[in-house]
Amino acid sequence: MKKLIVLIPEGISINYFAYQAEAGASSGLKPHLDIVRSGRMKLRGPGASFAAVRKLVEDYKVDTVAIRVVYGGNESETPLAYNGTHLRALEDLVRESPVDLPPVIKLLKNLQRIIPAPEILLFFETSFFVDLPLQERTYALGDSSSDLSGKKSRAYRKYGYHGLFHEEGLRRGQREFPDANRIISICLGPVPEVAAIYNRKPVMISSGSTPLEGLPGNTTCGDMDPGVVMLLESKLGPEMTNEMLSRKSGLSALAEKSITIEDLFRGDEKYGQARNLLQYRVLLSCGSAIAIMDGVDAVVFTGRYASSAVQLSEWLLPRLVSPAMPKLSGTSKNVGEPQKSVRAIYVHESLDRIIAEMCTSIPIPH
Amino acid sequence: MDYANMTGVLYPCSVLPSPGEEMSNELMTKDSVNTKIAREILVLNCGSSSLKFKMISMPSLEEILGGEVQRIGAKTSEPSKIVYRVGGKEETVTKKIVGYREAFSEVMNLVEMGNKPMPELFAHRYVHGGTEFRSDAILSREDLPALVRTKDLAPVHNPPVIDLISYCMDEYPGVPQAIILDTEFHSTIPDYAATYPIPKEIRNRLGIRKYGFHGISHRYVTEEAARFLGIPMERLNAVSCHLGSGGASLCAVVNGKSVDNSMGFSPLLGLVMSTRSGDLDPAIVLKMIVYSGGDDAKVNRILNKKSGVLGLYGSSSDIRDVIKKTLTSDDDRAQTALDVYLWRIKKYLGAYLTAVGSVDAITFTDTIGETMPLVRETICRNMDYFGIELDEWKNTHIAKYPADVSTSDSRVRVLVVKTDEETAIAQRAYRLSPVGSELPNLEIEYNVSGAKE
Repeated sequence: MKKLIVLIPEGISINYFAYQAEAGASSGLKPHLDIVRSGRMKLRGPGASFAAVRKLVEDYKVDTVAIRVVYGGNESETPLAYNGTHLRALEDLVRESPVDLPPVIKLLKNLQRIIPAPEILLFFETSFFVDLPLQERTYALGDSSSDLSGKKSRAYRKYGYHGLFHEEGLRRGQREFPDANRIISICLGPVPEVAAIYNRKPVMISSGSTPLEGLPGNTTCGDMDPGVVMLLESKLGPEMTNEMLSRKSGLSALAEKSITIEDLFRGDEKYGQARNLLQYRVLLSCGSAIAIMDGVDAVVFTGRYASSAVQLSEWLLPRLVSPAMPKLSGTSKNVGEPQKSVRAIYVHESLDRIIAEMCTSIPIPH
Repeated sequence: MDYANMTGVLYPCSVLPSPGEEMSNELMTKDSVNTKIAREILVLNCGSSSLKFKMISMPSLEEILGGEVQRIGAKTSEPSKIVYRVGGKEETVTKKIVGYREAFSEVMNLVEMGNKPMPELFAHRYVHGGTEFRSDAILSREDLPALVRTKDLAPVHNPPVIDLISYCMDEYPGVPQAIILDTEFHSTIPDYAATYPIPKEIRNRLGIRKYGFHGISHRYVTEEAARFLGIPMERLNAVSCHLGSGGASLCAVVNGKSVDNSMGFSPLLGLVMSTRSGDLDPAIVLKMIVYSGGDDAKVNRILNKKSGVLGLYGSSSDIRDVIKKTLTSDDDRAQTALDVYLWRIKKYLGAYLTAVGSVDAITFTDTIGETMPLVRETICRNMDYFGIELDEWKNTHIAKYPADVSTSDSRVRVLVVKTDEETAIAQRAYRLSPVGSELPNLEIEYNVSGAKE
């Protein structure tokens, strides 16, 4: 029996999930996982709360600690078997992810003190997207944009921020439809995201350099005209603009109250404007994905609000059906019947379970 | 708008009705108008690096003089030049031209040197009227402060036009100035596509919404496509690709009305343009402002004038130079610039094809859209799912416009249509007047094969 704990830092809290897994998962069968404990710890006061997380891990005597990390720069390995040498690299990335990485670094420093040391695995959300095609990940900016502070920094590029859900979506898509090479993965979370996955590789993502770009979230603005950002900044200053675009915008701003994607699809017409806007933006992203892949074989819905996917897909999927007759490749010869529907898969697994399953089923290079 | 002070110049008193008096039937006929209200409108269309001009006799739409001052100021591999035509004959003059006033003076020199009649109206394309100017207008000097307040809404386009209008008012005080807005066609974009999800109070206070741009061209080209295909404009579904050498945008059209445009509140959003970034993570904009020490103007300049093709390629802002480079050498930077440029267009095209649903046509227009087969070919390649099939031969052998460059099997027609923003602007400027608004539509008819009659 393997004992593991999954830690998901989120804002000023850390969510934890303690699992027991049957040994021998390397046989290829899906491991049997039991969740034995879960909860949330507030990170208040310097140091103390991280020590509390350490104590939790010590008490539980786990074999493995799995930590979800939102941003990993160009680190392509996930999970990454952590050792002390990785700390410096993470610290170098703080400037690019000043909110998400500092708590992870503090956490790692605390966990390093545990004797005997458990295996620590880092699950980066961005790893799945490190090799996005150059034309997708590149912004049309010159060198002058990245050396404004006087020293040259890494050029801005696009990442995705729900790589773990999209990877799971890809696995499910291929398991249920082995012929599906063109998958649209829609992650319905507090910050939703659409990815196009072609031949098992992501080729398009709705998010950007940060999760702020892309689809509007519960409180995040999503795609925004740079002209609007500059106008807001000139009126409010950078901090208030950032606060407004990150925490006071999105679907909640349209509904004029705090809501989630789930609320939108419960049929309440007072959220009509927010629902229409989100649906439309998802449709546009799917259209872009279809253009890039010249079609779609399956749509996979994942994420915290995957329960809302059925209502969304009733509106969305008929709009993704090809209006054309299928043709024999490279010819004008019609083959088969016109497409009638687009296949969909709904994945309801939580992020912690996806991570726990990966801990027990994927060989980890050390 | 008070027309009273304008009429002495615009409309000879003999043909104008007195206040409250019905216009005579004689004026309603096209022939009588031709003979009694002959007037010359000089259309001035400032692009991000060019000044297109056309002097048109109204309402016959006869071109007296036309052309383009190209590559004004911008860093490109070739010098500025004036390409103009008179009486069907085209001439080119190469000359260093650093600003729009200078370019305008060159145009007026051509008018004088050619012994052409002095224009009776200057009609300026105006990109972004914001909440100050929601529809086309004839300006008086008192309108200038309001115009100046819209300057930063389109920092590449608005400032030179404001400067040019002011200059024209000083130099030609008797000639009225009209602004024709790029934003008017997009007033039909529905709320779900036009709304930015930020707090309502600030949205309303600052007039933040998607305005959309290139509306004059998108409307003109879509109307041309409708006539060419024999589909009534009010039933045409299309995606219009306006790909200029400076700015560029796509427009989704349902039943002849704009329902989305890749530009937004400002012309910065959307496609990769000559010097504008197009789509960008809002957090990057904020980071740039912070890293520059709060130098908003510098960031504004970078995003509007040093990004896009110029930012990616470094040596030129003109995608034609980039294409040329990729065809003649293994230049990684040029190849990346071209790939990013085309990829973004393809993504928007797919998005709008899906949003529109049953699409009749895709139209390509303006400098790049009309003259670069490679761009059209790359964008339309591997789009079988949407029913798009480009005919390679037709795409590279266009004899006349509009041209259908799709195969006969293609479910969606792919058309290359010459935009004529200047003619569209002249028509709309003319219609600003009480006389013009009563005139019948000045439409060009097509026969079944698509040739102009």
